[in-house]
Amino acid sequence: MRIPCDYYDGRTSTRVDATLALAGARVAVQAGGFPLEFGADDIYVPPRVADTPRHIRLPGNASCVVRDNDALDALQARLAHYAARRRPAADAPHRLAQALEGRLIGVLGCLAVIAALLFAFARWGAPLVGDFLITATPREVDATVGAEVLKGLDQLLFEPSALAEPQRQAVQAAFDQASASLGVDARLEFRQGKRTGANAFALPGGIVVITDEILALAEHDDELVAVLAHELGHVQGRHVMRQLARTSVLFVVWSAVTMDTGAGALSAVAPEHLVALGYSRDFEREADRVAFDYLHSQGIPATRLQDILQRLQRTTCPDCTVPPWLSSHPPTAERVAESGP
Amino acid sequence: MTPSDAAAIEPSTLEVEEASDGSAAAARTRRGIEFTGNGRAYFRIWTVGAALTLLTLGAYSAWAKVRARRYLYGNVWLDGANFDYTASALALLRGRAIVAVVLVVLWVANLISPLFYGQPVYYWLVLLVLSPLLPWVVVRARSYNLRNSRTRNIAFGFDGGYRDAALWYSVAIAVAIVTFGLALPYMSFGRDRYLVSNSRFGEAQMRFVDARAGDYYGIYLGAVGIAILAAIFSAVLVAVIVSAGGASNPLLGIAVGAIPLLAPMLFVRVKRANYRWSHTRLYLGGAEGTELRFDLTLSFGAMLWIYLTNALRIAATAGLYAPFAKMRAVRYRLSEFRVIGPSAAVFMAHAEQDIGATGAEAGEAFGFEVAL
Repeated sequence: MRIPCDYYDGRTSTRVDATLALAGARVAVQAGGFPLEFGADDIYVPPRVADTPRHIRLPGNASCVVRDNDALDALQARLAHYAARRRPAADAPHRLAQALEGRLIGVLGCLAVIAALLFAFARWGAPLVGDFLITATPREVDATVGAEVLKGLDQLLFEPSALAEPQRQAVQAAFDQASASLGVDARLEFRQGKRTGANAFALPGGIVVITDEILALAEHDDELVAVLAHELGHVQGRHVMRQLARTSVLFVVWSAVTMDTGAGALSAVAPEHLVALGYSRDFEREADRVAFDYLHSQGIPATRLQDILQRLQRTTCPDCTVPPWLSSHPPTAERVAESGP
Repeated sequence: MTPSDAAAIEPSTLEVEEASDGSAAAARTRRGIEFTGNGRAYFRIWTVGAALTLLTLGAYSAWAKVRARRYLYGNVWLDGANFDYTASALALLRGRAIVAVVLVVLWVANLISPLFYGQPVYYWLVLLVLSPLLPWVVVRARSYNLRNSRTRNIAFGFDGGYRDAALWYSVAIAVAIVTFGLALPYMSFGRDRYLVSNSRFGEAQMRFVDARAGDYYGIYLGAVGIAILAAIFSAVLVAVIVSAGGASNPLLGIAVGAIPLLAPMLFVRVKRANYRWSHTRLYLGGAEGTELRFDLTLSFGAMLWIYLTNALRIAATAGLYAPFAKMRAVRYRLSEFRVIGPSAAVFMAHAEQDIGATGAEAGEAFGFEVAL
């Protein structure tokens, strides 16, 4: 069997129509009337990639370009019997890839492996690595980040609190008692929420912001204790910093996987955001548990947190239809049920 | 279309320009590049490459890169011959390992460093120590990539010196910072001239002709205009999203609004690539008029559209569209490329020596795209 090929002599770019064939234990190249013969060890056939024509390397920098990959594979298999040297070890991974690429089941299997590994990474890997990074980060960093965030929020959203001094002292006292009891180093900041409305935030570095609006919304002092305990739960777990670290790790890995498409970083925004919302919901549940434990220790009924959560939902968005997987918090109904008896 | 069809289709894309003296020998043909790659085949290569890379914690990535590149190059056809990528995966792996060590050192330095005015001291110290390596990385990356690109059994090559690389990559960036970016277009001009005029195909030398720094200032001025338009568009987009009730999730608004800000960068890339190729000549050493000319006519609007829709499709398919996106972008870029000159030109091979891959991998890790 003679395989047609393009022959180049290694000195110029001139193409010569040629044929390639097995002649006993040797390879015969018939190029423009000149018969050439090479030993099995003198020619290098690169691994196959899809059906791309392969450039065979011959002695003296000469080359043969073969388009018929199946014929070349057959020739190479027969030639292997005569070769004294083994094929380069670096080609072995190519042969594995080629075997997988050529079979539908191989490609589907690889897709399943990617999906499973990415899921496992999003579910366990990124939280593990992100949390480790935060453990290794000194607490002073939290304070710097938190101060910057508060400065930004003050400029963009908040107004100074208009709270009367006696009420402020009462809330501060409840906060101090809770933070001491939970063993958390935290400080309370009063603000008018303006566009953010009735809300409470835990910023990095132990800064808890509470808005005048949520203080007005509370119908019982113990409801405020519940909200403060929830935010202190965030502080205790360094949740904001861990969220930042986890999403950064996710972003880096996703970008690496979709690299080389000219759109890797941009396309990372949406999927990363969905996974990040999942981490956020986990942290909310954790903060709820801290709050419930604290309320229990103080002899306050867990229903205090439920009451204010439900009233919050009624006032902020009475008929909210955000699906749970698009929300940064678990559904209020679920959080209410979590408190248990 | 199979690769063997490429040669048959080619004559239809030829346009023969008669030279002024009308002689047949000097006839210049204007011809395009044929790209025979397809998304389905590349999807298989990409998927297997990604899975094996994840399973081997990155070690397989060198082979994945070689296979992807060999598929791309092998499906690019000019004058009836395809291209070939000849880098060895083992060499790439060594290069990647060294680069990975450097990145880990940087990461640890950042982690354990004391802060000075909010900046990690050790991190910047390590970068400072490594910075003299930058010219070396540039030269090695370009050399390695060109040396391992070939067609018609003739390899490309790069002979740029380290001193010029230091001038255009280290000194120029310092000057650009000191002049608040005013020297940036001149730096781009200098880099393009350095990269092109030190490249060759076999023994045939590339030249950067009739290029003026002033034209680069024109490109950057256009980018400033695009940036202003994009900023207005971005602000309007964010306002619309916020007023439509999307405000509950500011992240989404920022993400959608930030996308147009990338437009000026793309504008510079597109216009610069067009300009660079239109002023590149490949001299065979023969008589005047026998040199090869090139023409790249990428449209900024088309590129922006391709990139944005690619990003949306990749996001909507959880990444599955990525290999198709790559093929789509490559196909468009190649479709706007023309070679003008004698198609029967004979090129001579150059005596080559081997080059390590560390510089090339470092160039890639730190974002220097200095390939052809």
